[in-house]
Amino acid sequence: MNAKPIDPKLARLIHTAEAPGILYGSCLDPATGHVYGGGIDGHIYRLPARPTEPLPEKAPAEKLWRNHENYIASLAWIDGVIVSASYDHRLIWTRAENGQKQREVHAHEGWVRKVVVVPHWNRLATIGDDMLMKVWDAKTGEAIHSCAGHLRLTPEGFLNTVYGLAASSDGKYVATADRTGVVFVWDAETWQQVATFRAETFYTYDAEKRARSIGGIRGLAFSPDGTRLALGGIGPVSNVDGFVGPCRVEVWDWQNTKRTFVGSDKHQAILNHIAFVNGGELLVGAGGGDGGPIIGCWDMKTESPVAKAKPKSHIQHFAFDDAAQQLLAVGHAGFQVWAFTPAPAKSSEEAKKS
Amino acid sequence: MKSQHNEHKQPSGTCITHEHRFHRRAFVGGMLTGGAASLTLPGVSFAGEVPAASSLKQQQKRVLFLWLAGGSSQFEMWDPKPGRETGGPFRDIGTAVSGYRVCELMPKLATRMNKIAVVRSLNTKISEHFQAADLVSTGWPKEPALEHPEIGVVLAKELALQDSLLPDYVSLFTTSEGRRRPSPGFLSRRHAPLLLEGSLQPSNIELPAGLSAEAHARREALRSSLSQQFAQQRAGNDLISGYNEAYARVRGLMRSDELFNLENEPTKNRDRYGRTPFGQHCLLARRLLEAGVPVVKVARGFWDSHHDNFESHRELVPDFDNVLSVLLDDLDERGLLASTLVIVLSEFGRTPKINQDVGRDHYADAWSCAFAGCGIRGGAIHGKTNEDGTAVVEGEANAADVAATIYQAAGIDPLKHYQVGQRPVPLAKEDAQPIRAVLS
Amino acid sequence: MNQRIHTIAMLLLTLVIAHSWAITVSAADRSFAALTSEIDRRLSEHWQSKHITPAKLADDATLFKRVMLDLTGRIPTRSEWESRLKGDKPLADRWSQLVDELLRAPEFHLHYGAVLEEMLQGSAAGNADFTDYLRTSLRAGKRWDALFRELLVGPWDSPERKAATKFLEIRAKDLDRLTTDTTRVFFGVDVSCARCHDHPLVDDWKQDHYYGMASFFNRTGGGKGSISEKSEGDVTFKGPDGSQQTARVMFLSGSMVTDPAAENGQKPKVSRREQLVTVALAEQKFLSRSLVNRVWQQFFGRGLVHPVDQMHSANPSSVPGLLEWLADDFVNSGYDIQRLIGGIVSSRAYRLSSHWEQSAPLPAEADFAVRRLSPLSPRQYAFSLLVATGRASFAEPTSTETRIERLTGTTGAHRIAQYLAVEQQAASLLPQLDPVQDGQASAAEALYLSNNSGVQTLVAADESTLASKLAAVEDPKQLAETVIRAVYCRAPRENEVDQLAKWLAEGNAPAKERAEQLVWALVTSAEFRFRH
Repeated sequence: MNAKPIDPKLARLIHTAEAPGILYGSCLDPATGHVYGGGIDGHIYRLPARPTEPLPEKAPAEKLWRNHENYIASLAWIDGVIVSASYDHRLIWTRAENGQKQREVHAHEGWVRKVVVVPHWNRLATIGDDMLMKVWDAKTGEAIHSCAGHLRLTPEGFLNTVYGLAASSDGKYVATADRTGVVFVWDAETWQQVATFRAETFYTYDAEKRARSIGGIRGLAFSPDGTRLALGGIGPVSNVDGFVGPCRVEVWDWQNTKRTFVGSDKHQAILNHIAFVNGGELLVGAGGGDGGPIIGCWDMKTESPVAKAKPKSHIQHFAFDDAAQQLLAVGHAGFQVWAFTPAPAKSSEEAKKS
Repeated sequence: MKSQHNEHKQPSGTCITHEHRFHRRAFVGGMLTGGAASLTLPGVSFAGEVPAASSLKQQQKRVLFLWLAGGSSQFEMWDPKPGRETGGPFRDIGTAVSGYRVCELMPKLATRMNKIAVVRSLNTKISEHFQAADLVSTGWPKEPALEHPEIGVVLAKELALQDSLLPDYVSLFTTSEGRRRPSPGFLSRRHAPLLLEGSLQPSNIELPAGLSAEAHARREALRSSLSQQFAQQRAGNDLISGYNEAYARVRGLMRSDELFNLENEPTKNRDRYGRTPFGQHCLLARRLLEAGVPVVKVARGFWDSHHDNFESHRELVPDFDNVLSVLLDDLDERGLLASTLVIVLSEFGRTPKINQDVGRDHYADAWSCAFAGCGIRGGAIHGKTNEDGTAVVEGEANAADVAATIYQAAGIDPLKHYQVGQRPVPLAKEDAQPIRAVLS
Repeated sequence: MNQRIHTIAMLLLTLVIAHSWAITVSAADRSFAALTSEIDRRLSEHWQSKHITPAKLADDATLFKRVMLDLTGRIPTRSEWESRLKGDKPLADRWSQLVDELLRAPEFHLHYGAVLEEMLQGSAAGNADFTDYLRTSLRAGKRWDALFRELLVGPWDSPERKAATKFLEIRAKDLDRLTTDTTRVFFGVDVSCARCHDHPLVDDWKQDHYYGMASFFNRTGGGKGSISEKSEGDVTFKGPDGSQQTARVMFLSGSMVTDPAAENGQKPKVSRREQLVTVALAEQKFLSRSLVNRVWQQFFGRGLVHPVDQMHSANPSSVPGLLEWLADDFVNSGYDIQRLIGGIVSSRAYRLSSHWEQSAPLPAEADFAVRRLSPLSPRQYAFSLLVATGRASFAEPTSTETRIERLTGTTGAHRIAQYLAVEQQAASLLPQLDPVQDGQASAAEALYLSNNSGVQTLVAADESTLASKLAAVEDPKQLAETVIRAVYCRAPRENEVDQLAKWLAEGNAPAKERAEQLVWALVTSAEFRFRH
């Protein structure tokens, strides 16, 4: 994990691996560099992103097994096992190397939206449309705890949703965030609520023109030192028929419930996933909207935007491979592999090929 | 022959002499044979309609027109395709009608499906908002020389009670996006609805301080008689009829101000409908219908989920499910459902294809609408789309057919004519076929 | 030597005076008689060909009120119309002088500036800076092609011209709206339906046209107070077959716009909006016909092509050849708006009565053979309400005030101040009144006028209002005559005097209240509420 920092200004797309529909979740096997994705068709797809030979520009992703009966929303990797969370209300453990299904658990009364690993505890946390955050033993699938807090209805009387879930890297805290911008931080030992605040800019309710809303905190990430919580989504939306608002991140000193940073770009999009990279010095967000797909990067030391890149299609989730220094994104139409090294000068052979 | 233009009471203090009457009829008659049709043709004749209308009025029928503005998704409501690539993540559930399944977002309506008729096979071709809204809400494609009245306006005209103090047609469209003011088209402006936009209470409904009811009435009588005199033999005087009609409604509206005040409704009813805007509007609609307003339109805007379609419908559909269920129950409990036609309609549906913003775009080639109540066969499910919902495979119907169905259900002959200048214009397009399967 | 200095001094003085009377000088150049006679000739032919006998000419009082409403936005005061109609020469003989005078007056610029603002901005109208910019432009005699250019590309260098960015500014963030609105407002074409597929109803408009027009605007950005334009970027769209295409920069006529060739290896910077202005002015047809048609609609209630944003080959002008001739003439005159208006308002058709006593069928609206009733616009009605009730003052300036104007070179300042004061009073009324294009007499306006306390205050008998003057009149017939003259701007007829006197006698309310009720009844009656 002492990789040298990436230069976000050098971001370039080096490979796309096609998969049908939209992939919502991804997980990385840190040993091999394989990235797995799952989405609309309920299948798991694989892309070996650290191959021995350079990746071609594009190729179809490898289609693997299907265990779920509805959309796969999120994936987590634990010791060679992929845990998939789905709209079919279930969590399923599958051995990655052979596709062998190990276990299936009815996790929520409603769609399961996210699953993350809670480090140091060998546990998993999930959020679902029953508005609960649940904790599971990662090995046995035993239900350990259920945390309630997010309200079922929005202030306007419509169904609320929990979208964001993150665990701090020291395993001490888990955070959840919902459509209306409410965030809870939970102590991973006692499961008490230790902090709560509302970042309401992420939620736009249009009372005058459309009597409905859009938005929500979709991406959630703890800084490596655990003291900050980053939120990703969309800023004030002018037309709630679409993602028509500036993409947005906020960073909060959650222990003092104080917002310390707002990053907003006029590129109209919702950021579906965010993560800290470069040891916490860089905040990366990815998503898409009316302005098209986007990867945006903010420098946390200078607290300013540093780079933007235009992905091939809208991104729903990504993983960062420290070893290969690559960003592996999933979303509409499949996988995208992004590198942060200068583009190599084309050899005459390559020039002839293209 | 008794004059059929008895829409205006003769002002007190003036009498219409024989000579005036003759000139007026000649004027009107002249206009009836006027030249090329223009958008606001005067001289619409009511010949032949009176006998049918009066029997309807005795039965006191009502219409509740629920307009889901922006294009609601049939995949997330009436015609789910779970498991298909186009189906989206919502599953389907069984309903009280054996063999018919709806989206899981409508569990309450599912149990009431025996009261509801659904048409799954609409193909209206036009997928641009304004044009589609005009097409579906009038039942006619756009014509350059003739502006057709909106269906609610026609219904209001047909079902209006003589000498009622209440408006014939109240239209609630409180969100501004997609707001369409129901147009009287070639019918007189007197049939334009009372519009409630932005607020549920018509403003200025109380007598101003310092003005007695008597003074209020006296000056209005003078205003009215001066206006009528002025209108004599003036080109475009139908505008003045509409103008006077608006004032004639004022007293009636003032007396019904309590109707518009939801505070008069017990809390448990208000909670039952839910405190969302749509819920409150439908509660108001029930009050108006119950009080005898023949036609109420409640528009619920704006369903145009180009991005984030599933989250949007997760927000909108459960509210719709609850409100319509409560409405049907409420009307039924009050003995009104059998005489109230409930229509659920949009300007089009949404695409089978899910775009990269997880949205659905406009789709007019295969979509759904629903009916309940007066003249409707509950539990009838008409028409089918293919596995992916991309095309109609059985029972195709267009906007004119829907209009004809509505008129038929309300007990009005869809081919009955209005005379517009030289041209007889039927209520529904000549080749329209009422959808028999959903009619009782 | 002295003689020369004297001459130079006289010259300078003349120039100074001429500058302040500049409007007069240029207005005299605007002879629109030729325009009027051509309109009359063509319409006469049209009526003959359709065997239409047009209505008679309206009487003087009706005409004066009508032209005042159309050119200054309000009814005349009693002293204005009584003095104007005095004398044995009928108004028809003095008509073009009257029109010329009204067009030169500050009220025309003030009113018509507001009319233009509404035309340009639609529901977003009401910005004082932008309206004043238009008013100043009209007063300076700015022509339509110059306005068009300024609105779309500037220059916006001076504080006065800065407000011209408003047209683009409110639309800069919405390419679709910018494209559609510009095309509708300036060219009379609604291409919005051709965005997703070739226009389903109009053969002329394909997706290429929509995106062709959009290409003039997609590089434009900006917001509060500033407009920017990138130097590159094209519009792409999905064709009916689903393939992505790059739009060609194309005007409505089908003319493509190509960028100038590269010089010394460098592509010269090009402004797409500048290119639009260039091609539109070169083509002339769309720009001129659309404005002429809209002006015709403003004065007749209906365009020669109807609706005004549906100009295409399957929807021709209802009077063959007239629109085309007027548009060509408009171009030849240098896009002179005032001249166009003067010509239209002087025509016979404009001056026809709304009475139709013939046994012949009423002609279609599109034949313009009889004046049709139409409601006053909210502005016209609000201003007229204030004038009729006596709450607005349009008294002539005193001699001192006139001297001040002359000495400071601010001709018309007095009248402008009066107008702005009335405009401010009218502001609260405007949102409550039915807009004209809606065509609906809503119960909302009737409720407002019937029950709102603000309206009660309007007709109240206080200060020097009409109602207070009436309350002091004992004789019911005299009262009736007074109110008719003040509100309807004409001489009363005997039977209506009797009718009103009878109404007054029947009531038992005190004089003040009776007067208020009487004023209310007349200002809400059809004769006042409608243009006729």
